[in-house]
Amino acid sequence: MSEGLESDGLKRDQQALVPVQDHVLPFADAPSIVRAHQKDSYFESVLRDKVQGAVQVLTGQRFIHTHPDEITVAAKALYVGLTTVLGSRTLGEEYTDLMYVTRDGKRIPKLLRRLGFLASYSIIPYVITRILRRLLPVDEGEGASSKKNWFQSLSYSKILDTLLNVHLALFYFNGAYYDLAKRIFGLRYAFGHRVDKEEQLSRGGYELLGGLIFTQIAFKAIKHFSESFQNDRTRKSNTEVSDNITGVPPSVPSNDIDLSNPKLLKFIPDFSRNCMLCLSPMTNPSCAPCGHLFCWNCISDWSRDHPECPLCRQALTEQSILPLR
Amino acid sequence: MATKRLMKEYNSIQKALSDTQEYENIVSLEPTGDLFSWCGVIRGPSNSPFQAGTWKIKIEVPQNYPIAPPKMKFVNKLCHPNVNFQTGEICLDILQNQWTPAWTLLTTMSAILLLLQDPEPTSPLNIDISNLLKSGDIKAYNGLIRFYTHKYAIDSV
Repeated sequence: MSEGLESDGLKRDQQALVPVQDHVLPFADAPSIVRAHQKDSYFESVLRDKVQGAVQVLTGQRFIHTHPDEITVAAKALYVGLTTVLGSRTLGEEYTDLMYVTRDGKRIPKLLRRLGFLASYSIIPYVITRILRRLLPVDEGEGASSKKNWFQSLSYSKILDTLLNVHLALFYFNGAYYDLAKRIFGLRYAFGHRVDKEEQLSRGGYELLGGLIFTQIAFKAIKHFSESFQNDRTRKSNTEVSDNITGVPPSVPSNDIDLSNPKLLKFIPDFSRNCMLCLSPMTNPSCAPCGHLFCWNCISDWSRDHPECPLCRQALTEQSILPLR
Repeated sequence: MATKRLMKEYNSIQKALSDTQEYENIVSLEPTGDLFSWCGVIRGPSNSPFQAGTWKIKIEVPQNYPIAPPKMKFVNKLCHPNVNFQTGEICLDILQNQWTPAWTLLTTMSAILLLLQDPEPTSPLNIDISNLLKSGDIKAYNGLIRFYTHKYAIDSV
């Protein structure tokens, strides 16, 4: 025990000395990474505009409208390919003085890792969304025919969303990997300079945001559970009902607005609730451009033959009548 | 729609004719048989040459009323610039192209009464009486009307 304590103490001493002697750079904190990322995404969008301009000259406007996602992917790949893959820093990383290190923070990541990052950062998300888009309609069709339990009712995009949210929350807590691709390939940021304690404290952290995301996810999960539970129950009761009544279409409730009901469209005063064409309380009150109100059926019958308001003779076409709701 | 509206009109006509003085020169206005054929009786306004006369008006209501105007005709003879002496046809714009559903049978009857006092000699159906009016011979105009009123419209109903 005492030996252990001693060695611990030794280690602590060594760690205190490390910044001076060992050539290990301090890991970057979350705020700097976020700032670098913002800068990068700005330059990425600038690059995207330039790429789009070039593509427009080469292929024409139509291609740009049909392939906006492809252009974005190409711009992203170009940006990362020209900076990270070649071993230099992106503009955002230069801005906050960051550089890539491996998970343990002792080496610069190798070319293969950086290529993998390039792929998973730009190309793979695009491919996945394309595949999902093709798969999803089929998935829904199967879902309608077969009973789903709560797990199957989770859609891929929902799972992906939740995964990304968890990842973001983790970043806010420990400030390691802002991109999922960077987490997978172990590209961690380190400062290119020494950081004193005061500077680090003044920047603060994003732990509160991380906590918020986790509570949000928890709420969503609870809601999803209770909803799917209720759906199961209603489905069961529905099947019981459908045993008794088969082939009867659900009755369509009439959507007519009948002004003989004083609760409807209360803003129309009592003395003008009658249509002066049928002299009855209006059904589906409709407004002519001049402001006079009639039943929809009455006024559209009239306007087909006579393009004028029955009351004031102002111009009135059938398509200019506005039904009130 | 026509039947419903005519029912409503019938109710309000009975009320208006019995309750108010506004339509004192409309003696009666009632359907004959079904709701699409009516009969109205008007009295000649006092202080006019039509005074003391009563005229029967036959009203035919079209199936697409009130989109289309009712057809109205004098049954007994009336001497008036805008009424055909032989057929009883009335030349009144609201009974033709100026019709709107805002008119009812009752208000159309009042319009005919107003036409009696305020003839329009520029679009005549009775040339002779309208020429008298146009030439400014009011004495002859009033006299001729009084003659025909007494001949055809006293105790006519």
